[in-house]
Amino acid sequence: MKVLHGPVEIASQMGNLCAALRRRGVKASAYNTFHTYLGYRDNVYNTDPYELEWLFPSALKHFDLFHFHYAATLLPDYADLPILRAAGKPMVMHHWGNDVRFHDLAREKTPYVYTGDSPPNEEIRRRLAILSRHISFAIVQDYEVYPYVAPFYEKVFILPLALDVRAVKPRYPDAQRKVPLLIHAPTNPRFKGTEHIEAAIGRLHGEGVRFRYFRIEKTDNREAIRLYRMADVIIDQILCGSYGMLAVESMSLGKPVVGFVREDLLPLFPEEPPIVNTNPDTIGDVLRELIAEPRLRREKGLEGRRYVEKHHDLEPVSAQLLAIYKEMTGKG
Amino acid sequence: MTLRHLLSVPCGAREPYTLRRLIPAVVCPAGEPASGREPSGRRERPDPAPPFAPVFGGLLFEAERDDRGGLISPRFLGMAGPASREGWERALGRLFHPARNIGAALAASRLLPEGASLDIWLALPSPPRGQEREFGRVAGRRLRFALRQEDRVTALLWWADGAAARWERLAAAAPGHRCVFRGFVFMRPYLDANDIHVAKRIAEELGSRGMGLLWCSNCGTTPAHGTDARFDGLFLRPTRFGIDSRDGDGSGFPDAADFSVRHGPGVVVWVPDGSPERLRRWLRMGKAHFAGRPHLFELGDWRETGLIDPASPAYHELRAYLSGIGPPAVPPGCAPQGEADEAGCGRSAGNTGQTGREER
Repeated sequence: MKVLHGPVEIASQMGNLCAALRRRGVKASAYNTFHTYLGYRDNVYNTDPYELEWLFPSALKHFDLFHFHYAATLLPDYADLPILRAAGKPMVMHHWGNDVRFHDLAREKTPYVYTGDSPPNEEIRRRLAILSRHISFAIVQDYEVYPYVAPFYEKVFILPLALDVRAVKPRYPDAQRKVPLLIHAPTNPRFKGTEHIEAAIGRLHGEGVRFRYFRIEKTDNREAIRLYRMADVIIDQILCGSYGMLAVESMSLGKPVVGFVREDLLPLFPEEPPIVNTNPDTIGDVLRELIAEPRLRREKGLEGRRYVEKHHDLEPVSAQLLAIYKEMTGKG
Repeated sequence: MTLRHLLSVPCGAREPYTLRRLIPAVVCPAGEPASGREPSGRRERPDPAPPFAPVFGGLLFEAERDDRGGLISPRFLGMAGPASREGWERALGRLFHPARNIGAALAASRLLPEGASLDIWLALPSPPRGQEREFGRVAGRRLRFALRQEDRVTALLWWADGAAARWERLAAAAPGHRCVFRGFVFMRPYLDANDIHVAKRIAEELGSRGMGLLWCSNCGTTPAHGTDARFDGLFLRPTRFGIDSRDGDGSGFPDAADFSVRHGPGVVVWVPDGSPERLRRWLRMGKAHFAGRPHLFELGDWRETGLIDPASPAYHELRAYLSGIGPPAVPPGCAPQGEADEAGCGRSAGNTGQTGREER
């Protein structure tokens, strides 16, 4: 099977999924037109929309299945979809959150969520209507994103974030360390809740609690991961109600992760994620406890590593993805 | 360098172009009028009239994938196996076959009338930046593109030198041909910082060897409008026009035309599926916007679609178009952002000194 992924690389997922598929004998290629300081380059061809259009005639002939990401496809205005459909090519759209998070619906679920980076509701609805006219299947990473797209598609699959966990050597927090290092790495501070996190950090410092804090921003992904290795606690996102790639990378490194996972979502994960749960109202207390308890940090780090090995490693995720492809192509 | 109207010849690994297939791209019977008027600036034909008249001014040969599926053309990025020295070498062997592809072009050029010539251009292969697998040994070194960017330059220059050497041998063995080997074309439209470095190095090196380097870019692509790589010519592909399921009105074409007027590149007539109707739309738009510019016709595998076949009406419409617009009136822009001097780039690329007088 030959599979195309494109055209938006989010959190290195296209590259990771393609690497995983190739290990299973699938000829998978990813094309990325969304370039950021994160510098994703593994297993991905970096390109632009114009070159993608130039490649399209070759791709149409070559690939058996098209796996799109972030509500985007290969040609402007979804002009490729009727062509692909007419050619009988199976397609799936992988939604990631900000591309489909309806503002009002998101706020119904949690008052903390920031949706300023999502398009207006009408635009999201328009895009989903066009996409689902041609594409029957969608993928989302968890049940936080699921309700936004479920009404539009014939079937929506859940596929956890993918990471080559076994290639990451864990470095668990030192249970003896008295002055821990806390790291927060917001790609989008307003979405992640950085303001609330840093307000809490300031209060703790004011109380005389001893710890170090480092904020990583606008840093190449490889360098960022090198820095995460030094952390004793990683603070992920505390507004949207689920966890993201920073949490997965951090758990793979054996770090305790602080984040906000909505109560109603917890039972919907295959296993309750060992995120140290918090929100903007409780972040200060949660951090204070972790700073004071080196053994708790280490325990959470060990739990996190076990969790991502089981649920986010390329092996289990690619097995699920192949099952999705088989179901899509009627070979399931 | 003055560019002429070119036709892309996509060379897959299997079916080479034969003399019979290439002849309609090079000449047509002179007695068949393609249009009512002669292109301006053309000299009168000698009397008696030669039996054949030129069609395209040049051919651009592009190897696609090697015979084991390895990558050659960037058109197949992500759709081929790893690039390899052996694969690229075998592709050269097929391109310069004595009786096929360029060998067939040499033979076809013998039919050109006196004073006319046929330019030969070669598409450069693509050494993928991220390729982990070793390319092969060149000049005593094992090339690893993912580890050393300079290895990409080494591979390209090795291939270009190999092509030039094969050209010399093949041309010498084909007396009476009227082909001129002009140089190479950088086909990948998207260039990141590393690619620009590679393109600059290649342009410098090929220039010092007396060979030209063109770039086929998409209008709007990164960074088509800003690279300082010194190409000898630029062909713009108004990509958006190629997809008629979206709007069908060629919305990208005026943008490309506007850019062309300001900066002077040629235009790629892009009909990848070989649809005669789409070609007709291009020709209508081209006449309005690009009449004075050099054209590169990318018509997919035109053997399958019959676009370059005297039995096809589209072929005669295309000939009429070429006759109607005449040869390019201006040299192509070689330095985007208006850096081109009045004489084009002033870099001579031909290695034989032959220049066709009836240029198309």
